[in-house]
Amino acid sequence: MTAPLTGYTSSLPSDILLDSGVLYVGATVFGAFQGGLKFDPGVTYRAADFDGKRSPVKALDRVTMRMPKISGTVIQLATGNVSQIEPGAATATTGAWTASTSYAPKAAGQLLASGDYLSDVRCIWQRGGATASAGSYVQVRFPSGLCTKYDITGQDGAEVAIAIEIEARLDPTLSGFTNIGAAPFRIEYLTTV
Amino acid sequence: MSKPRFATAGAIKTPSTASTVQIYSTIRKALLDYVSTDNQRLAQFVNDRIYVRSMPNPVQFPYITMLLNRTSLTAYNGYRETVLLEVQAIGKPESQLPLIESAMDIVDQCLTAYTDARSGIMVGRSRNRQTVPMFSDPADSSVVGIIATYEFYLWPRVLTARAD
Repeated sequence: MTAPLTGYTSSLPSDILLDSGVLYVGATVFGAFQGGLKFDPGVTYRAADFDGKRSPVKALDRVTMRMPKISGTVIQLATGNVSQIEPGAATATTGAWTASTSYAPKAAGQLLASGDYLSDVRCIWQRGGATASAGSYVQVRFPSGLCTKYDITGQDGAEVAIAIEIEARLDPTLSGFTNIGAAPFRIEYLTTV
Repeated sequence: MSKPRFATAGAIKTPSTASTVQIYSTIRKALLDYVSTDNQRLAQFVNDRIYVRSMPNPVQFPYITMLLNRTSLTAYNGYRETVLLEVQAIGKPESQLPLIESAMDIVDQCLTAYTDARSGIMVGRSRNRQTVPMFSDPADSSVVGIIATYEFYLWPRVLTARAD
């Protein structure tokens, strides 16, 4: 009797990715998330057109834009998180609108400074099992990231949900990313976090 | 790996999901081997008295029993199971209640963060736990118990071996 085709292979137990994932900024955990983290490479392809084209043709595609994004819903907001989701926000210590710690978002019209971006944003998932070639974890890594969107939603009888979106930004000052067409992210296999 | 027909000494290899008997044994060994974050082992509370379904006679308290309830759905053509593992910790007399609560804390810690990919894969992440109310006549009111149900998902070799 023939077994049904399922796609199962003996490598599934080690190659399977588990759980919701954890977001790191540098070596620091961003916080606890409700639900899973999502990575979208946000790639746009353009298939070159020509007179008489009847279907997309192999070797005539190119990437025209990448907008990689990590999104998820975090349930905690430490003071250190505020300047991460509000890039360039500065603590205000004077003026009428100052609580014990008051964060003033960056003024509109100003360019963000290099230090306003998140450095080394890492979205890490655990693999089912460690292998010598692939280690125990998989991470999507943005050498430079920017939280471009967030909202804070209170919920009856549950933790406040803070939905965030972090987009990758190309940093041409980094080795391996100097080409303006370089993808601003990497997918990496790790033995340790 | 061939499946042992009887659970004789040395017949059961762990870790393994090649048979239901070996799945029980794998979980039992994981529980006995687990060292909690405050450096405690289950053996300090129940020795090695972890049984499947029921305890042997004569009864020695406290003890732990396990029962598996495994379900395959049509997704993945039945190779993936969701598993409810019911664990009961039973003590007597009533003064053993703190003992079995502490023992079940270790079980909780072990099974709610359980991942084993050495044979198939077993992953446990959630649970439901309750302390059994005091029995009244004709049951023995000095018996104390905790029932916890742990939800796993499982790709057992006993099923997936057909796909190799």
